[in-house]
Amino acid sequence: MRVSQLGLEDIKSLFPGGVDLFVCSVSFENRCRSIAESLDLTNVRHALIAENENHIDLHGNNAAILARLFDNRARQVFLDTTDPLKTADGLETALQDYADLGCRKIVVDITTFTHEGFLIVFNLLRRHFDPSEVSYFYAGAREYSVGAKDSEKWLSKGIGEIRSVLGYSGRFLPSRKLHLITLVGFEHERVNELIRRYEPSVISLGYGESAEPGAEYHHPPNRIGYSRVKAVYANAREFSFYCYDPERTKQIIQAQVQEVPRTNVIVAAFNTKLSTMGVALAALEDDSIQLCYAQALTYNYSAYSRAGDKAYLIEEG
Amino acid sequence: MRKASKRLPLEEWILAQPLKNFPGGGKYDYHSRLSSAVNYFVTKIHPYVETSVALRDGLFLTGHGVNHVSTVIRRAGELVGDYTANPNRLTPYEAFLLIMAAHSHDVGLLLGRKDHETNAHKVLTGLINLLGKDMVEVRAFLRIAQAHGGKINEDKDTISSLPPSDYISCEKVRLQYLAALLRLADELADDRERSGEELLEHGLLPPHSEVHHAYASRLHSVVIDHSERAILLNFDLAKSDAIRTFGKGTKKVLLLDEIFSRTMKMHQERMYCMRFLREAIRLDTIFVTIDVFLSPEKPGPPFQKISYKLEEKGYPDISAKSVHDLCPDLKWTGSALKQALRQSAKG
Amino acid sequence: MPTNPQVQPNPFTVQTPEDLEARDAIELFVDVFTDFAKVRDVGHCMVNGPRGCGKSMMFRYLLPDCQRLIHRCSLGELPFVAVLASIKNTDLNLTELKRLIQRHADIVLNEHFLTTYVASRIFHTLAKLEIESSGKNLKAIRAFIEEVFVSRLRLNGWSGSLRKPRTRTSVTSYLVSIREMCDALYAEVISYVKHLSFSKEIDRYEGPLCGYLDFLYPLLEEARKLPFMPNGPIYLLMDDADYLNLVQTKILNSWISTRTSACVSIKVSTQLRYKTFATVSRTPIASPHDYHEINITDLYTTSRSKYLLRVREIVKKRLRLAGIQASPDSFFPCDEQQEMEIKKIGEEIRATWMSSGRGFRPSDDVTRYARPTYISRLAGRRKAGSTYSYSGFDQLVHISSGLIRYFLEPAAIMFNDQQSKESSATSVIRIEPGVQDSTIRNIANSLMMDEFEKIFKEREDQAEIANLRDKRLKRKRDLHKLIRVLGGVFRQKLLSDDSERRVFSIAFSDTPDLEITAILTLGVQYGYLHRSTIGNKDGTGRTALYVLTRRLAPYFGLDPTSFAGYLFVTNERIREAIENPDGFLRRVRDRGPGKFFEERQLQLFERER
Repeated sequence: MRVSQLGLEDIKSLFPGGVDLFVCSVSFENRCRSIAESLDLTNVRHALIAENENHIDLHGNNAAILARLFDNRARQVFLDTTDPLKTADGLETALQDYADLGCRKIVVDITTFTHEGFLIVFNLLRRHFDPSEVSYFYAGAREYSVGAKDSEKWLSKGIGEIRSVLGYSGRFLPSRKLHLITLVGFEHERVNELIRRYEPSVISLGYGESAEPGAEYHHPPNRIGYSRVKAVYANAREFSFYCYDPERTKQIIQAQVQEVPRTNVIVAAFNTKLSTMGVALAALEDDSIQLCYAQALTYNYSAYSRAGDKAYLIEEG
Repeated sequence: MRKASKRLPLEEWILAQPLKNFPGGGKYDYHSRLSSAVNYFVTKIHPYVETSVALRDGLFLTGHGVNHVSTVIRRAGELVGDYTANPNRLTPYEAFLLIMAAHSHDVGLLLGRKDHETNAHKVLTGLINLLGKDMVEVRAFLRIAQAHGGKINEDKDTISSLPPSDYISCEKVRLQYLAALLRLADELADDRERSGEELLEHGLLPPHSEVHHAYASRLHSVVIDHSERAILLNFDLAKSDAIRTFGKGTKKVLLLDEIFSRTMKMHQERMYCMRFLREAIRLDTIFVTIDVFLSPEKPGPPFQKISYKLEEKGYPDISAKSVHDLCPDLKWTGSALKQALRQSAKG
Repeated sequence: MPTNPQVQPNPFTVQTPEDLEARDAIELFVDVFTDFAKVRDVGHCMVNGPRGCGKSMMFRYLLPDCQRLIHRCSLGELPFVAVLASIKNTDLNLTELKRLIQRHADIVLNEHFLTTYVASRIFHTLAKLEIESSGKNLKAIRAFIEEVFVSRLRLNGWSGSLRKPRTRTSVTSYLVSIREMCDALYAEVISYVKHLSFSKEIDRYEGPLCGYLDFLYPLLEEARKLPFMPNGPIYLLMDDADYLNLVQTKILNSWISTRTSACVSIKVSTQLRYKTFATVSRTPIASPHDYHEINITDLYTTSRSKYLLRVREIVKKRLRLAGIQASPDSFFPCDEQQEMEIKKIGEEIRATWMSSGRGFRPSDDVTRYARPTYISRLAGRRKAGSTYSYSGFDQLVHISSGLIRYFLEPAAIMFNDQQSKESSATSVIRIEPGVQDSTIRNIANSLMMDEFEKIFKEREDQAEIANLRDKRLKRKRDLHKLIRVLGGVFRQKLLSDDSERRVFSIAFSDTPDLEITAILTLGVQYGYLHRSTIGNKDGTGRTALYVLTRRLAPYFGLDPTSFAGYLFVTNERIREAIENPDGFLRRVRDRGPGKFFEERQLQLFERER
């Protein structure tokens, strides 16, 4: 798996052979348009625009803007953060249709999918298309929780329902203890709540590698969040992972699983989408791993992020 | 003995339904499944039920073989009434499960009567492949069969242990409804066809089971009248039936008293089952008519026509324990009838 | 950024009771069974209480390894055998199972899933007990496997063969083989549901299907007869049953509704979010007919001295295990300056009691007025009410409001913060009052603001109450207003010149209407209020007493040690307060609380129940 960082302005010249299908998700963040607006739209044959129907009120004009970019090549699919079956069925039907149409080159903007939505669409894409023909983009943010001090940054708060992600149910045995692996980001309070709810026998806390390019800016608030989790769960194991390198994160997760054998493993990803991709890869290779999604109760809608001018491109093969 | 090829109305109806009306939307051939399963029961299982029980427990039960099952299925069909016109009464898939449950419900007798309902599992282990390996479906009709009598976990309210309904391959199945249908149909299937009449006539039955056969053989008709919401039972008693006693376990009883007792139980069963059937079926009354003839060949009007109606009336009377409690105008008892007949003979 | 392994470990770290060694569990546990006799006695029961109140520790204590150590006897001599089935959030409640709802075998598959899960946990517990492998025991377990376990499985459609145990001379090995079989049955369901993830078609399920009455209960009935098992019942401890999905909850209720408790008693713990009390046949289970109900916080709000002692014991043990030579009071010292000032005020009160005292004795007035007077003076002095310090072991215990977790978690954070202040070479032997105070204030602020925000955002998932969503949101907002009003009124009482200033509770002199009752119940459910009972105003019976959680004392500037007084309120007053909380509080401030509420003092002979 190759990860490269590039300027948004460089995206236009990629994919000279054209893009059969572009997939993206509408959001309250304007970053949801960054990749689409950077593509050579004349080269895109179909566009699948996903939108969480239960959050439509928060999305402003973003859905309309995206639809206008692609005109009659766009198809809308409604997801629902409270109904994973609806999310999965909508995406499955649409992707099956595009597969039947013979689409091969797929480009996906994963930036503003929810973590659950991303995990589901990632799984479905690998079922319907050749992974080597799918390119993923992630539009970086210049800043998260815009304007807040490092110690006060937040992206979402609270945990509503915690559920296993559809397609990543794991293979548990009732007689085994629970090993919870979490990739911690800003959202220490949600990590604490997640651990409280699960009461795992083993906790492995992952913190983002500070030396990773692109991570420097976000590292201080991550570090504060991490230390707050450790305060309450001092016995937790620790490891570092790569926020922007899915393949290496996958290997690290697999290593963590092997270090505590004969346990039921749940992985909760609270960091970047790229690290979540690494988690997904690990779970798809080892289907005994369960991935969970902790639905946020509220998002920092007004100041979630400030869009940057760079993006990550992830490709296999 | 019913021949495997002779189909019952309910079976004919199922076979006439398109396969898309069954789970799987046509993917599974429920017609051939029904035929092959019924054939298996009729040829391999039922013939051995009674013999097995007699050999094992020394009981000589009223008919529990294929004829009884046919009667149960027929009765169930009569209870449902015009199911072709009223789909709420029974769906094709429910009819299929009902027939499977009817065939299964007494099969546990192969292992002896005690706890016979739950023993159906053991006997049917070999049938699971034939019936399709779908354990959800098999379990559904076995549970319906299990609720037809006895107790589940020391509780006589066996039907309530089932969920009201569940879904099987996207088809809604009313489990309690079907269990109640089967239970009531079984209760009403104790008629002439079930009795060992010949053996009774010649005194060849074991004493402890005489009265059951006598009861069954004298019940000459059971009619379900949906327009009157009633079950009509007609008994014929000859003088000889009324004045002698019949063995029942270790006791001896008069047949009229046994009829009272059994119809009272039937009334109780009706009330119980109606709780679960009421959404589609209403049967509020049991009319019992007992014609008592002086002569065995029954020419002319009966010596006495005893009739009564068993229904819930007035404010629910939970203290009522006998026919006479519910029917205070009924003056007859077994002894009184015996007395009257003897006096008639003298006169 | 890994932490330094040389750093002093935090004695208040949260530990899952399930993973504690038996000796540690006994060491840390404080016996509360005089209160919760029904948990230990035969019979089904439900233990309700928020997370962290000690339910799981109680269950851990009941397990046979702990009980054997406590009673110093063998397994066979115990009065009961408890087995723990701890329901983790997503062990049983897989998203894929939603595909079955109103489509295929929702009830029967979920029951099989739950049955095999519990069966595995049972034999997992028994296998850990190192049962003697005598000839008698070996013969019995072999017979049990063939004649009961395998036989029952076959009755339920299983056609496989049991894997031979690793060794035929060990009872444990046989128990492990049973456990492995149950694991395999459970795993078979997972394999089946995995196919449902992205498929709209439903495959047939061809595996065995086991339920409580046709598999689990008969199995346990026979297991009790094994020679190494006690004569007493088996207790199935279902911990955190809130995490079951709706149909699994109904199935568990169906199990409870069976009359099997003499042989198998089911003990269920919930966090007050149990989804339903209906069974699969739609009839509900009810207390006490089907089970005994125990609400932990109810008892703790009314047995304060017991709770204080309990926390003291727990903290003492934890400090000792961590190698810290300090008592709870010295580890959590109070603000000495503050306590000196309060003591001085107490002496002033004592000196003037003869002429202007209100209580029967000087000490009564000191208890009643010294601390409130101190707080009141702080409020008057340049509005510096917030400088009151909530430090000190006793205050922290009271603030935790009867839930041990609300003591331990803040303590863990305080320890961490104190540790950050010390040099790496220094061990923490006390938490400075300032650190205690700031931590507890942050938590109180978060409770009133962030937590409520989350509560507002919570979605009601169950279809049955979808149409009540808006009503529930309004009710949550009304609860927030009610809490604001109560806190504000109690604050006014504290600063007033009334004879009883230390008030933390309300009782109704009339009957609250359904909506007010629903708001109060929501408050109890979310832990903002605790419910108790008190003699009613007319002395003719008892009425409900609602106690504000002391966790909010720092937010409202209240004295968390006060228990003496409560206010009688009317339904109308409360409605008025909810409709316009700011206006109401303004009027209370201007005219005094006494004009709006009747105060009552808890008399010595009155007991909260």
